Amino acid sequence: MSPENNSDVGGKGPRNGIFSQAYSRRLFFILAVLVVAGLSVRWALVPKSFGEKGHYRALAPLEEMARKPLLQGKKVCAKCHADEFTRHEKDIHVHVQCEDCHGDGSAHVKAREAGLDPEQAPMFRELQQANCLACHRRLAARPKLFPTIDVKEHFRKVRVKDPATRCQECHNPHEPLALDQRVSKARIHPLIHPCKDCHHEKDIAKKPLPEGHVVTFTCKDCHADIVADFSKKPHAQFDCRTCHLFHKDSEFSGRIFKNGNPKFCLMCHLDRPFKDGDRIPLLESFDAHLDDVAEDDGDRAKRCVDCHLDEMIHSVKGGIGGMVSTPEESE
Amino acid sequence: MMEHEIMNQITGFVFPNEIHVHWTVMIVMYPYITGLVAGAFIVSSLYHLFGKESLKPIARFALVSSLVFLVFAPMPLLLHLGIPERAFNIMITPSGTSAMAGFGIVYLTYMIIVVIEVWFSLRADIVKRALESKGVKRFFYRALALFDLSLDDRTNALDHKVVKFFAALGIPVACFLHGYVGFLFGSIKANPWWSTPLMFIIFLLSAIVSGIAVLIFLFFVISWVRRVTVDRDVIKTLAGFLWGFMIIDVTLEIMEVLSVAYEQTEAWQTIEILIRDKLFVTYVVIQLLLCSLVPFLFLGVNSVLRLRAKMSNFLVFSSSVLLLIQVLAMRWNVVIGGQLMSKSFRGYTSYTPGIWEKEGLILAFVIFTVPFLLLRMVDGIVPLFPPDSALGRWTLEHRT
Repeated sequence: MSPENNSDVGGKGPRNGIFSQAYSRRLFFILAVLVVAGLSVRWALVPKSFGEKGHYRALAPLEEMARKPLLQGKKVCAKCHADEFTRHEKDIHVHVQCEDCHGDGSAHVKAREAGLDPEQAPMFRELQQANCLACHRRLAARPKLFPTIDVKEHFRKVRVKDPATRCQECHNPHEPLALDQRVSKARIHPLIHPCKDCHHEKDIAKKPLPEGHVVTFTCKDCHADIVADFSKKPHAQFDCRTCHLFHKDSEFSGRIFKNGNPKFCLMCHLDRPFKDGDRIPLLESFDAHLDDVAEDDGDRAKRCVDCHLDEMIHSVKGGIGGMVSTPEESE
Repeated sequence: MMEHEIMNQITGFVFPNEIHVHWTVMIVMYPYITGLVAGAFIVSSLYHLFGKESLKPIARFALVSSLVFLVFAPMPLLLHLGIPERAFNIMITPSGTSAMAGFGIVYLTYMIIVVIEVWFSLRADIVKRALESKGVKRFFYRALALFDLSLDDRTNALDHKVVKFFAALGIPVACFLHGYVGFLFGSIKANPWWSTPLMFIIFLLSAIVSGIAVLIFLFFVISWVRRVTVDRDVIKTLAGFLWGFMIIDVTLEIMEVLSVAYEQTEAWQTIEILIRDKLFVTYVVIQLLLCSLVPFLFLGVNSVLRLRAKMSNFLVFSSSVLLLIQVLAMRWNVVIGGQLMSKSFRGYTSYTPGIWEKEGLILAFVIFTVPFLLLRMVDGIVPLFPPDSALGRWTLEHRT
C-alpha cells in the first residue's frame, strides 16, 4: 500500500488508514466497479436524442406526430352509415362524435377498405345505462343547462318500473330527442335562470325575492297565460323545458324548440314492458293509434300535438304580448 | 370500481379527477417504511456516533433493520405504479428540478452509506464465522468477508472508525431521505391539508418515533420468543428517547392544525369538516387520543416513577405498539385525508382500500412483514446482537 492511498478519516495516523487493509480496499474497489458499471448502463440506456432540446428525448414528439390517429371522425362513418348520420346530424347529439360511444373505428374501417366484411371488426353497440350516464348523470359539478338526470327520479317521473332499463329503449342515441328541426334552425331565446340553478331549497321559486336580489326571469314572467293554463293540465308536473328543450349557445342566449315530432311524445307514451301502464296512457304504436282514430288521410297526417295539445298540455298559445309563432317555427 | 359505485361515495362538489383516490394504501406504507429506516438508523447512530453505551446491545440490530426496511421502502411505490419499470427513468435521467428524482439520488446515496456501514460493523463476526465453519459454508463466509480474514486490534479499530464516519455521514442523509418524503407533501401548494413547511419536520420526527418504537417492539418480542430477560438498560434509554421525540412530534402535529384553525382561512372550513367527519376515527380517536395521549401518559409514568420491571415493560411495550399505530395513522391521515377533500373546498370523496387487489391490504401487509423475516434471516447468517448482551449470549448457546 502506498502512503498516498492513506485516508486520514478518524485521524489515527497513516498506518491505520481506511485503505490500510486488503478487505477495505476490496470493498471500495467493488463499489467503484459498481459505480462505473452503473454509469456505463446509464450511458447505454439514455436515448441518443435525450437532452438535445430539453429534459426529454428530442425524437419523441416527432415519433408521436408520425403516428396515425386511431379515431376516424364522423365523416368517414357517414360514407357507409348515411341514415344514422343524417338523423344524428339534426339532433342534439350533433357534437358527439360517433366514436365517442362506439369506440375507435380504425380496425372496422381498415376491414372495409380491404374489401373484407367490416363485421369482422365489430363496433361497440351494447350501450348500458352507465355509458349514457357518463355524461348525463346529475352531478353538482355539471352545468345546470346540460341535461342530467337522477336515474331513480327520472324513472319515477316517466313511470318506468324496471330500474335496469337501458336509456336507448326510449331515447335513440342517434336522435335522442327526436327533434324535427336542426338545433341551429331553432328559435333564438334569451337565457333564463330558474331559481333552482343557484338555490337548492325546496319550493324556492315560490318565495318572494329578497331585497337587493338581482331580478330573475322565469317562463311565467313572459308567458304568464300559457304557464297558468299549463299548470292545470295533466302534464303540469313537468318543467316547460322538458318539451321546449333549451340549448345554450352563449352566456346570454340559446335556442328553444317547439318539438312536434310524435317520436318525442312516444318516448313516454309507447307501450313497453318496463313501463307502468296504470299510471300513464300507453299506445301499442302510433300507426295503430291512427288506425283507431283517423277518419281520413288528413287525420293520418296529424301529429300528437295537433289533437292533444289543448286538452293535455296547454290550450293557450302565442308568445309575448300576443306574439304568435310563425308557421315555419311551429313545424 | 364501477362508475355508479364511485358516485355514491362523493358528497358536494368534487372535480372529476378527484373522485377516485389515486394515492392508495401503498402510498401510506411508503412513508411509513421510510420512516422506520430513518428512525432505526438514528437509534444506531446514538451508539455508533454519540457513544450512548446503553444502546450497544441494539445498535447493530438497529442498523441492519434500517437496511432491510430501506430495501423494501420503494416496493409500495413500484406496486402503486401502472408501469413500474418507468420509475427507473428518474434514476437514469434525473431532472434537477424534480423532487421525485431527488429521492432517487438521496435513496441511492443512503443505500451505499448503510451497506458500507453494515458491512464494516458485521465484518468481525463474518470473519469469526468463516474461521469456525467448513466447506461451502466457509466459502460463503469467506466471500462475504471479501476473502480477507484478518482480525486483530488494528482491523477492529479501522472497522469502528469507518462505522463511525459513515454513521456521521448517514445522519444528515437519513434526515434528508425522510424529510424529503414530508417535503413532497408539504410542497403541494394546492392542498391546504398538506401544504406547510412544517410537514417535513413532522415527518422526520414521526419517523424517529416509529423507528424507536419498532426497535422496542422487536427487542421485546425477540427477548420473549427466546426466553431471555429483557435488557432493562436498553429499554429504559429507548423509552426515554421515545417519550421525548413523541412529545415534540405530537406537539408539532397538533400545533400545525391549530395554527390553520386559528388563522381561519377559507381552507379551514374544509379541513374542519375533514377532521370532524371524514377523519374523525383515524385522526381524532386513533392518532390523537388513543395512540398519542395514552403512550404519552404511559411513557411519562414510566420515566417519572420508579416502577417494577414487569410494570415498566408493560407500559413501554404497549406504548411502542400504540406509537407504531399512531405513526401509521398519521401517514394515513396525511396521504388519504389530503385526497378526500376537493380542491373546490366544497366536496368530499371517500376511500376504502381493497383486500386482494394490487394496492390492497394483503399486499401492504406482506410488504410490511417481509423486512422482519429478512431481519430474522440475516440474524441467522451473522449474529445481530453483540455476544456480551443477553440476546447475543442466547445466539451463541443456540447455534446449530
